[in-house]
Amino acid sequence: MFWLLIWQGIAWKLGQPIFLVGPWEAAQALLRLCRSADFWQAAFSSLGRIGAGFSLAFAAGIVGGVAAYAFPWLGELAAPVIGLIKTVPVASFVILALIWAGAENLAVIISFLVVFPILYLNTAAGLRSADRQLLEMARVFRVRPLSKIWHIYRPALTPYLVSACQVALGMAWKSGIAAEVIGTPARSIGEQLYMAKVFFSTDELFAWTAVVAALSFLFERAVLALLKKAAACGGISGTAA
Amino acid sequence: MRQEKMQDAGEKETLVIRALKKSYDGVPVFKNVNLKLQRGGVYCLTAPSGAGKTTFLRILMGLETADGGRIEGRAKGKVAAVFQEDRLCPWLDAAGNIRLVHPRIETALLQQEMRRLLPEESLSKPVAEFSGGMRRRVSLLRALLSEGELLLFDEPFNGLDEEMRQRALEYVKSRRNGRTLLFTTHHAEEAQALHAQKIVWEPGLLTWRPERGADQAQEFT
Repeated sequence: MFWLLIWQGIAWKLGQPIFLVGPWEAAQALLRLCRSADFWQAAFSSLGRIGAGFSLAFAAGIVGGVAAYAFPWLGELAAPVIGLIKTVPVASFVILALIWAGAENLAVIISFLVVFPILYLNTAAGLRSADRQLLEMARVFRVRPLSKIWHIYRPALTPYLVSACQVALGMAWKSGIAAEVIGTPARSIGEQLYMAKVFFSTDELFAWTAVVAALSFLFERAVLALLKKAAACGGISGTAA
Repeated sequence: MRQEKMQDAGEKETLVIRALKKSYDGVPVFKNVNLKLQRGGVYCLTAPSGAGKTTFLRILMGLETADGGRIEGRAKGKVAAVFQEDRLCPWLDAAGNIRLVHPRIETALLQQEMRRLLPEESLSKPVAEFSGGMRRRVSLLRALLSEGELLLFDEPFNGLDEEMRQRALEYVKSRRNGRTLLFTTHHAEEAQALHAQKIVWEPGLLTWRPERGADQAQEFT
């Protein structure tokens, strides 16, 4: 509240709504936007694209990380590609994806490319962190593979996945929206942000930024809650079985 | 001739160890270990610390490879182990840890056996909340309730107070069910309590041999 008041004070003092609007004006713009169907279409469409990119990267990252752990030669083979994806600027990927795949699925591709290496590397690291002594115990007692995965690998992997998701979710949104601003696919938050820039609608720019922040926050909460639920199930007891 | 004798003996012996040797960075840990362990026998491996008892057991468990020699009969059945460390899943309770290695164990039997070594109030707690002694007892329960036919225990009674050690020794006697047991210890009374055949360390030869006068474990020469 304190910072909102400071913000509002600065905006009022400046008195230049093109340069800076206060939270009150941004909230009014948000209310105005909310009443139009285009707003919801753009919000859900971007959510769908970035969500799809994240989900695909989450699945592919886990599968790739498991494969790299199980077959170290595969990990070594993939290392330069992963390194390349990590170092190439997102803007370069955006332009290339725009040329190769068009604007429509740009956010899906960019979110995927940003999230995949994070999930891949953390999955492999999480599996490598599994307790060696427990794995030896499982080998001696010939513990069933599924039990080994569930009771030894899963607890080791979960903290890595949670921390990877915390980083990757924010990155997916930032890069996905940036890609949309460049590619301006129809009915997307990126297009709306671009239009706000073109028409100097600073209040709408702030309103859309707030929407992105809120969607990113809610998406992160939902994914982390699902992950924590998956981590908690299975419990501690073997007594009731 | 010796090979034929070995094959005849194979019916009776659980484990036949021939000319086993192991070294680390060129420094021999043990060499030319020749032992026959009879099915259902109880054997106690004694040696000073650092003589390679754990390494020897790890080779028998299949966790390390020897530099030379042969182990026959190990593949015939499952192995159950008590490691020097407890090696329990801390997030599982005692029953969960036992079920991990023996998923088909009957609940009533499991409950009954756990109560023999563990306090009632501990049964619903994850083993992360257990004391060191309690975790040791869970390790023993896990090994003895498993379907392993060859029991390999590395200092299994470490960390138990005197009263609990006696209970654990009694428990091992009652739950061994005729399975072959090879364990390491620094305490002669544990070998006595389990009527174990001692396998002693020959520091000069860097090898183990059955204690003289023994009639169970045999040594090849």
